Amino acid sequence: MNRQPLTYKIIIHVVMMLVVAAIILPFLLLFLSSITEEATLLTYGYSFFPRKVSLESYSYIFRSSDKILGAYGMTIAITVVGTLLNITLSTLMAYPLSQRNLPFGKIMTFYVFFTMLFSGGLVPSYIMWTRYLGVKDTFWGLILPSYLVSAMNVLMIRTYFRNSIPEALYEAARIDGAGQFRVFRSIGLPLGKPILVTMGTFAALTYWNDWMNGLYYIAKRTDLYGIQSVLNKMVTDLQFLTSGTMSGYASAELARVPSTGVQMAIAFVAILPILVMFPFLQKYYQKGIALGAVKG
Amino acid sequence: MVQQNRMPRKKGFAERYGKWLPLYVMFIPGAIYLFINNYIPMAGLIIAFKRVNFSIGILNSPWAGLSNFKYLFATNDAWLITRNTLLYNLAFMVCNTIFGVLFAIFICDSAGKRVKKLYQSIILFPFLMSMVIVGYIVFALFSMQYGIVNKSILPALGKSPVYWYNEAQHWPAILTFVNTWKVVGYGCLIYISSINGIDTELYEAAALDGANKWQQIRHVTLPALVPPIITLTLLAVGRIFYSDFGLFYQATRNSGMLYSTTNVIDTYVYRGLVTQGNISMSSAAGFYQSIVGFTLVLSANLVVRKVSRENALF
Amino acid sequence: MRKLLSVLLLCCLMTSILGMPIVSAEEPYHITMAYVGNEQPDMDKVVVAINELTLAELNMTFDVIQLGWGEYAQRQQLMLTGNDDLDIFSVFFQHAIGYINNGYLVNEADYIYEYGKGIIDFMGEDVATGGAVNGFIYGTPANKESASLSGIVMRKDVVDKYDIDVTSIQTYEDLTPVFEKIHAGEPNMILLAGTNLVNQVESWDLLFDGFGVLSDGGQSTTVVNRYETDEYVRRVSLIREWYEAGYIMLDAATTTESSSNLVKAGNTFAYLSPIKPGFLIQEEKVTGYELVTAYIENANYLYSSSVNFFNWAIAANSKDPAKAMQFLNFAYTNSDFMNLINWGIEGEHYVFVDESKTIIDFPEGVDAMSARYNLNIGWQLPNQFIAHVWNGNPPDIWAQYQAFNDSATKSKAFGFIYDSSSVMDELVALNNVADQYLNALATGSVDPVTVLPQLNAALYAAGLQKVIDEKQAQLDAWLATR
Repeated sequence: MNRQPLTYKIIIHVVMMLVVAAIILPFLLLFLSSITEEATLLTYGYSFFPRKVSLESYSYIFRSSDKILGAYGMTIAITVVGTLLNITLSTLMAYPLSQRNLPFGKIMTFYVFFTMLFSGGLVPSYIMWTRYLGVKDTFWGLILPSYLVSAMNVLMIRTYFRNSIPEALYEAARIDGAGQFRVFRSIGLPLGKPILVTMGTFAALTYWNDWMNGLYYIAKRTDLYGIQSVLNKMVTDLQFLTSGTMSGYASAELARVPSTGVQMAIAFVAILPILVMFPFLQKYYQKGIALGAVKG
Repeated sequence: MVQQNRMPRKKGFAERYGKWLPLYVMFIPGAIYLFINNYIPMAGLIIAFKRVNFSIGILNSPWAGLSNFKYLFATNDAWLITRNTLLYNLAFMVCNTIFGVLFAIFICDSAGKRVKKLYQSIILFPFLMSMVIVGYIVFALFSMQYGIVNKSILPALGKSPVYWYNEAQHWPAILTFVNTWKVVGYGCLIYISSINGIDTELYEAAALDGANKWQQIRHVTLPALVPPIITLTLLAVGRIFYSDFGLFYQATRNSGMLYSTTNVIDTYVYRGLVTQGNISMSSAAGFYQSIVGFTLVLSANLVVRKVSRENALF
Repeated sequence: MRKLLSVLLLCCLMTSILGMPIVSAEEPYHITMAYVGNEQPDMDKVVVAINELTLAELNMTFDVIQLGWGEYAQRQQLMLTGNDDLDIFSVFFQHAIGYINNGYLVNEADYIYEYGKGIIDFMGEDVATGGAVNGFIYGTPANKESASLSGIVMRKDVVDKYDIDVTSIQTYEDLTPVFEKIHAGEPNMILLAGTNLVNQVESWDLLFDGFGVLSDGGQSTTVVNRYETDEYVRRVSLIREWYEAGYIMLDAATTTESSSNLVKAGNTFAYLSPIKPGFLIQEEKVTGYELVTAYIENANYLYSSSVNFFNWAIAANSKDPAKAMQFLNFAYTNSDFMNLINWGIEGEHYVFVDESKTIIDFPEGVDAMSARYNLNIGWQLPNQFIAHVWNGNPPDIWAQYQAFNDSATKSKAFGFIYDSSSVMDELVALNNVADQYLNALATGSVDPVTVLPQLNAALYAAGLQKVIDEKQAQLDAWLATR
């Protein structure tokens, strides 16, 4: 696998360099726009070479909300707790579905899949979670609704357990007299690591990026807001106020509306911690993949 | 007698299901969650068939038959929004699969652990951005007054500026690119994990047989990717009448002049109902989208089952 | 004396919480109010102060829920369907019909004459009860400057530099030579910003959604298609000329930058805006430029949609609508409440700057950015006319507002709100058509010669005639009862 024709190597690198550029350049543009002085932006337009740099946008954000730092903390807490619960439940659910001979396995798969197709909509979910389960204005309101088990994750893990781990390994373990739990722990879990790490990453990104639970299930305890909730609120307020719906009435509100540069800065503030943490996460990430790749 | 008759049957039951019991137990916590989070609220689908009046409660509200659905089909735009939704989703499925697989293979074959790591994380970056932000970036590129394309790139090429946000014909390409850019990492990572799961001996055996790189990819890598591709595609088929609202609303900045190529079912319903707050009509739209997806995915699954039973979802 | 009383009542509340019910005192009713606006760090403190007041005056406790601008529509709907605690909240006029049909609201007609006398006395019965559809009073309007007189706001330095005669500007047409002159000297300057170039000067009674309108500020009672009126054609044709001449920002139809931000950035000359008493001072603060204004078209009318812009409604969730109405009445008539909710606590969030204690400003060292409490949404709150005046505004601003409202000609359909429930399907299609064409036309981004016929064809295909007929029938019936 390591010895490859030169042309192939060249193609890989050219293509991947293009991909990297296509991804990095927009980020760079976002960042540069956020530190371009407002008047410059509105006179000369967007540019990779800003004529005049200003950090006003960032200072605006931190002045206008004393919540940003606390919100970072909340986001991290939500992401860690949510991801752990999500990946645990999803794995437990996916493994049985991957077993070919499990009676009712197909029905159970369908039970999971069906939730991806039909949704009762926001209102019934809201009534369920707030009136009957009382998660409103609690930490759990940010964790439990919607994201705890994603059918998508379950089905992707199931596909991996079923197709990428040889049936013979499960069989061998069973012949050795291992019970179902043992087989799961000694074969499924270690060999499933690549997919578990991958799906765990997606679960983490889901929680990291989420602002909807904050919007629906947090009414008064805004100290529970994660960073995305705080920033999303800023952005949607802004869009609404500049949409012209308010005609002249909200001019006092409009006066507080931040400009394009600030919006760009808001976006950057939201992703900054992940960019900072990425190298550290990578270490664990790579470890997981490498472990999974060892085959018996 | 009775007891003797029952004993073996009971034993048979225990034998048949007993050994699977731990698996059922594992399944239960997630199943309960889905029941609470998804199945019970599905009762709310009856809202689509009611003329809801909350002061007397959902159940007591009068039935409305299919009248809440009428607006989806009565309009002249019905054909347009359906066509747009379908074509975009098909284009997205094709692009995400092809590029996802391609990048996954390339990443796995690139030399050096560090480089691999780098590629793998960078391809996930766009996931970190909300569509609102992506919309800003698209605007920074294509803004007619301030954008990089009109201000720097086109003049440098000696071309005159393009009215991007006034001309609908550019957007199928732009939106497909943006969508691929944003979500290709998802499939790609899943494919990478599947490739990592391939026994390296298979490649060595193939190499011994004199298979070149392309043949190795064709005969070893791609077959291993078929199951996740099929699963992902089936999942996408189920949501074929839905679209990413942010992509079609935020990234186009809701520019009316682009509607002929950017209006999809979700945006149409949103624009129509945003001021009316009629939840019966909006849940009717959701029901319609779901039922189409449901029908399609059942048929697709049936086809998969015919071709390769192994890879069917259920 | 009152303070003593409130302390006493607070003690009563405390003891009753501790499980020693006082036989004589009725259990205080708990009012929950939701407003649309910004979050205030010191909200809890202010709520405590308001509670003291409401306990003393009404034997009610009070709590408030803040809804952000971008989220309020969705959150209101969730609170109403989820049967959350909610008594009174502000309803945007375009949501009213939907809310009524969904059964979210209490008909205030059942309560206002008994418990809301203060509201009727203050605003007059026709205004106070004007937020009604088929006799269902969905809410009482916030007391504010509702007339719609609009004009152009220009940078004074540019006006002076090019020697523009501001008094010569009276119509849309008068702007062309002004723009021409400046454009010759400042080819890169954006001369007119905003997407509201047609709508800001409100010469039609839009009858709430603009699909079927009354011309001449509602002085005609024939419902017509606005987009075929001469006035509309005239305006969009002119604006198209401006766009093509380079006076208008190319991205005007899709921009999310506010006009005042654009002026502040230094490359924009003017924008359209409603021009009300006290407007200029506030706008100059925001933009950082000295400004001059000129009214255009002199369209000074009073419409139901502007009076009922945000109305205070009683949610069907309310456990006791009579109490909620009593509270509303209190909110419209008690200046202490209005001052607390809008400006916060005296001495902490604001101080008086004049002897007679009417003008207020931030305390030393506090500004709008660092303020712990400065809600400043008087135009949405029940009755700002009884509250303090913020520094910079004329001391008699409320009288000026009243005079401003009185100077406007009332539309013939003033007080009429049509019931759109029979044309719901048509409205979905019409809203889409409107979204598709209107911003583009109103900013000159497309050529009206070709696009206007398309717009009208699409509107009629979407059922415009049915909506017009429905409106006309309802309006005629309503006029007959006057």
